[in-house]
Amino acid sequence: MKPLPLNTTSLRLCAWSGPALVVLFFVGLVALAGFIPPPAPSDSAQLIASWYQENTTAIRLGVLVMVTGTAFNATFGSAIAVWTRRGEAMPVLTYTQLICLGFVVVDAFFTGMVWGLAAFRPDEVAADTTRVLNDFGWFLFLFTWPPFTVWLIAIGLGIIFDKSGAPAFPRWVAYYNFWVAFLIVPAGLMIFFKRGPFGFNGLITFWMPTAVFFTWVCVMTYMVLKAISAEERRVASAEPVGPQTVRG
Amino acid sequence: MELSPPMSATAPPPAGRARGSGAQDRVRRTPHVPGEAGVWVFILGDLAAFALLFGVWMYYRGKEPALFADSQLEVHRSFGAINTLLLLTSSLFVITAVRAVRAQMRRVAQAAIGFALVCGVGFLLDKVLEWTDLVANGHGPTANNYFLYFFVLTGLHAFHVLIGMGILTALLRLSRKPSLSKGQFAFVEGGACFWHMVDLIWVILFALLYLMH
Repeated sequence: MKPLPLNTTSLRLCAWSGPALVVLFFVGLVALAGFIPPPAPSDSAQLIASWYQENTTAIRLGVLVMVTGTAFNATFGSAIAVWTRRGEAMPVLTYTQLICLGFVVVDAFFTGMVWGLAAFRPDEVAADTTRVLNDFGWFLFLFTWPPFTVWLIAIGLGIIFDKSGAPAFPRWVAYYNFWVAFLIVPAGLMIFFKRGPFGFNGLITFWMPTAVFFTWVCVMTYMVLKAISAEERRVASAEPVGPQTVRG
Repeated sequence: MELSPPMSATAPPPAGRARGSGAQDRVRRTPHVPGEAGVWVFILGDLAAFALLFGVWMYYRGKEPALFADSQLEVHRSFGAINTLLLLTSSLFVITAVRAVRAQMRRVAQAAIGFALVCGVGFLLDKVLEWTDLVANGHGPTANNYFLYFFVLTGLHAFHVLIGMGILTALLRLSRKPSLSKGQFAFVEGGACFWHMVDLIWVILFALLYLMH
C-alpha cells in the first residue's frame, strides 16, 4: 500500500498549540488569577483564605482560562512524539511519551481545577480547608515532576537513538531535553520545606523549573516547526513531480 | 545537524574534516571538542544550575554567618577530604580510560573504568557514613539552615554521582568493543566529561561547605 501523502496542516496546528498553552497559562494564572508569584507555604490559613475571598472572581476566571489550555499538552506533545515514532522500529519511547503526556494533561487540568475549587466557596468553608486546597494545587503543579522528567528524557533518547536516517532534530536538542528534565527534579523538594528556596514559592523549586519548562515549550515549538519544514522539503525532493527530467 | 553513520574505524579519527588531501590534514590541526557539541548544552547547563545553587548557599550564609561558621566546625573534614580524593582519583582513571579507548587498549580501558566505578561506590559509601553520623549527632537537615543546605546540596550532587556511575557503566560496556564508531567514541568522551563535571562540582562544594570560613 502506498504511504499516505504528508499533510503538515495538522502537524503545524499541533505545534502551535504549544505557544497557545503558554499564553493561556500566563494570561490565566499570572495575569488574571495572580498565582505567580506564588503565595508562601508558610502563610497562615487566614491569609490564604482571605486572598481567595478577596480575589474570587479573578481567580475563577483565570483558572478557567488556564485549564482551557491544558488539553494542548496533548496536541503539543503529539507534535513531538510523531518524530520519535518515525525514528523507532518498535516505538517504546513514543509510547512512553504518550503515556506521560496523558498524565501531564490530567495533572495540568487538575492543578487549575483544584485552585478553582478553592475559589468556589471560600466564604463558606474553614480557612484551613481553603489552605489545604491551595496546597493541593501546588503539589499538583510541582510535586508531579516524575512524568515530566521521564517524558523529556524519552524525547531526548528518541533523538539520540533515531534510526530514520533523517533525524528530525539536531542532537543538541536531545541534550537540551535532558537538561530541562534534570532541572525539573528539584521541584520534588517542595514537600520538605515551607520557606526558603526549596518551598513551593522558592527559587530552586518553583522559579527555576517553571521558567525552564515554559521556555522549553517555546524552543521545542520552534524546533518542531523547523522539522516539519524540513520534512516537507525532503518529501518534495524525493517525489518526482511532472515529466521526468534526465539527470546529467 | 550531525548525521553520524556508523563506520568501523580502527582508531577513531579526530573530529573535524574528513575530506581534504592527506598532506594538508596532517599540517592543519583541526580543533577538537571532546564529545559531541550537544553534550555541552547539558554539561554547561547543569553547571549553571549548580552555580545558582552555590549562589543560594552564599546568600543564606551571608544572612547567618555565625551560625554557618559554627555549624561548619561540626562536620568532619576528613569525610569531605576522602570524597575529594576519591573523585579526583576517579577522574584520573576516567582520563586514562578515554586515552586507552582511543589507543584501543581495551583491557586498560576496562580496568580504568572499573577503578573509577569503585571510587564512585566509595564516594557514595563515604557519603552515607557521613550523613548517618551527622544525623545521629543531631545535625540532620532539620537542625539548622547550614545543615539544611548541606544535605540538599550534597544530596543533589550524590544524585549526579549516581547518574554518572550509570554513564560509566555504559562506557564500560562500550570499552569492551574492539572498535568504536565515531558516534560511540563521542559518547565515551561526552560521558567522561560528565564525570569530570560531577568532580568539578564536588570540588567547589567541598570548598564552600567544608573549608570556606
